[in-house]
Amino acid sequence: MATVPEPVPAIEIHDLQKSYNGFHAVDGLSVTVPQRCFFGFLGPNGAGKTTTIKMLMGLAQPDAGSIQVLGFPLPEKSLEVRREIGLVPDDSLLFDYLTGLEYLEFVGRLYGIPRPQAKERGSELLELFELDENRRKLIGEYSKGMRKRVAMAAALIHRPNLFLMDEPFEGVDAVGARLMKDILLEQVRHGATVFLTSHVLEVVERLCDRVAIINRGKIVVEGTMAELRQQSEGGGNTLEDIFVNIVGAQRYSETLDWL
Amino acid sequence: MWRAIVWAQFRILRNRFPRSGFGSILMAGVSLLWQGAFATFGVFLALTIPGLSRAFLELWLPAGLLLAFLYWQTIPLLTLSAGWSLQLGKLQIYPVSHDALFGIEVLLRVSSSPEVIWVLLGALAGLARHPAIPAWAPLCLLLFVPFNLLLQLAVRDFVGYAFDRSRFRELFSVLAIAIGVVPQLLLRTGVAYKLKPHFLFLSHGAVAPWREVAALSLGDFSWASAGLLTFWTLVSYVLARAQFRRGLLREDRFRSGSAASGQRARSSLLPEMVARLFRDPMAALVQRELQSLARMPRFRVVFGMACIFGVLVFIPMSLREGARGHSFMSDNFLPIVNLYGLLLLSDVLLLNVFGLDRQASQLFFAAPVRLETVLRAKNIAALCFVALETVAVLIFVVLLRIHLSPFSVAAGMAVSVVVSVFLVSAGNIVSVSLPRPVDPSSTFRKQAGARMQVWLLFSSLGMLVLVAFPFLARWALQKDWPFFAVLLIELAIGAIFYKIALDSAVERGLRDTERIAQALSKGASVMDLGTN
Repeated sequence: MATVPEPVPAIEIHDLQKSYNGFHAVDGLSVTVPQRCFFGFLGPNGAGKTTTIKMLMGLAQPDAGSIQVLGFPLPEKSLEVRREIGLVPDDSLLFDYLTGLEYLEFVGRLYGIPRPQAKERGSELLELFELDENRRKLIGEYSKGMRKRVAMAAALIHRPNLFLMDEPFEGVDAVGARLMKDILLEQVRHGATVFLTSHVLEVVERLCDRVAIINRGKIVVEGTMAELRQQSEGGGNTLEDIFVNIVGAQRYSETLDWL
Repeated sequence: MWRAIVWAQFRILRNRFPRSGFGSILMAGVSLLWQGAFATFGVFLALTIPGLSRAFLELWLPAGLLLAFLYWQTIPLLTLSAGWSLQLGKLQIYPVSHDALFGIEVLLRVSSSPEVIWVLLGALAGLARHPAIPAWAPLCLLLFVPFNLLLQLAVRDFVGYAFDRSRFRELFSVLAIAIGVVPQLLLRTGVAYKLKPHFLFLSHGAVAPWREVAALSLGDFSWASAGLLTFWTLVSYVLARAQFRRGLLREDRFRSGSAASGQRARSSLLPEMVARLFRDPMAALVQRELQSLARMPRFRVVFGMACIFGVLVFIPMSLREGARGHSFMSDNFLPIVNLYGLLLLSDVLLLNVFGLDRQASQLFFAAPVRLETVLRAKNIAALCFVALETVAVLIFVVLLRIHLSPFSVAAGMAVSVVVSVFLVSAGNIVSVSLPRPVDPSSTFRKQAGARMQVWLLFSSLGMLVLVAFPFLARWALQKDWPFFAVLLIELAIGAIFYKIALDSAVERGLRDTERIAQALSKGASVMDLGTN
């Protein structure tokens, strides 16, 4: 009897390592993200989240280990990988001296979309993200939330199969965040995969099918929310409880006399 | 509080120190030579002044102080270099009194032209050794320092404010620069000699601060002089304080939208026309590059300077030498001016192609485009601007009715093409080796990093060597065709160099993506030392 081949994981990381001046930012990290999954990648500051995402984006080279994105090995097939992913990085990749529409059209064309279509999609995305009133305004004049929204719009313009997002909701108001979440959920329903980092644990808990917590460059726990609850020895129901248990339990008991 | 700021700045410099290399040492040497020349002049004054007659000093000391005043107030504007200054946007959120910040800011103005201080100190020492001058009097020269520092702060902030607000910032900056050419123009055309009596008259003008300082420094104490000097210092204090207050109120200029109100997206007809010559993604990249650069205040000012400044600088020489018949300068006016324009443009357009995009450049490494395509697109956009600059210079020269021979026009264009090819090639390598963020909204020039300055120096020398060969060939054979033949050979070599340089740049860029991204995302420190 013929067996149906397993779908390729969206992301497959094995024993990834990255050091900066002797400091192990990522230290033997292994994780697999299945396709059509909303994956939360959590960790305290300096745990190695952004470094990992940068390596996935091709902006940093691993010292050791392997990364496969949608079946393509990195960095060998980086061009193929880049075609398939949509990026919302933590720092701005926006060009301040383009208008929102010009930027979206530019990004669309970089991803191989014909110009009229890129312009049309850009226009529609600006409308969707409620930025159409500011279409003639330079991005440099945008507020932080508006910048995140236009970055999100740019990540969507080529309908990627995988989204890599580093703190996508940072600085976005409640309405904007809700809109972004709805759009991402819709994308997952249509078959895309979202790999996201966020410090807003409630959002991660509500959105993500699977969550991995990284600390000191290593994955500490990984699984569905139910699996995480089981793995967390300190108990606790919410993701915040589990997270604090795993990475910060020893801290709260210590206070400063003068504080 | 000021101690905390100075300490923080010291730590920042100290932490950077281990990363200093050959470039830093070389530039420190160049800076030492420059300052040393002024210090030597100060020593010369200290040794010479005691032997001068009092009548001579009464005539020339006010004139010298007027010159020092003009240098102090105009040099930072001419170079568009602000020297050291506090990052007020970062510091004013802390409980530091505005008085303390103001005090430090005034003191930091010394950094914009320390050479005047050496000259003044030399003059002070000379006057102190003069037998006919009372011992207390030379110290009055020091009263000239706070007046100038306060006024410079006021002028700098006013100009910075005008640059940020004005819709005519480019025109304003070019005018400010053109003022700098006036002394040379006056000297070269001989008008300066006719104006000498007027200058002396101005330096001895009633109530002028330099005259009062000179009188006090020579021992001619009067309450009127002391009162007038106090008045001038107070006026400069009030102006500086008002401008400083305005600077504190000014928030993030770009984000607030106030500065950018004149920056609404303009017609992008020309970029679109150029982009039509290519296919995506090259077309998209070229179009974006042209659009963005044309909207960046920093680039617009440099482009304006390249178009106009070169002509203004070399007109006096051309006029002077041209008056004696044909001369090298009058015969080769356009090639020389174009070369100068290219040198001005090279810093922002050719040698640091990712600088103005800063951290957004990461997109070029994250998007599905080859780095080679990105660099080629940036090169094409740069060559478009070089072509525009060359045409603008030609039009400007024609409007000024400067005589141009057909050879000069053809040579001007040909030199631009050949030198651009070499500069673009070298620029690709430098851009991935020494990327540095440049603030596109800042009109004032920040000093380039030391290694970059070395590159600029080498590029200038390389440009001179490139142009020297065709001129030598023309001179040796006394015909025009060898000039163009040598340029043609250089162009062929340039094409090969471009290919090799591009491949090397791509290879290095892909290998050092992370370092490039980091370098372009660097923040600033407590004081703005011009690291951008």
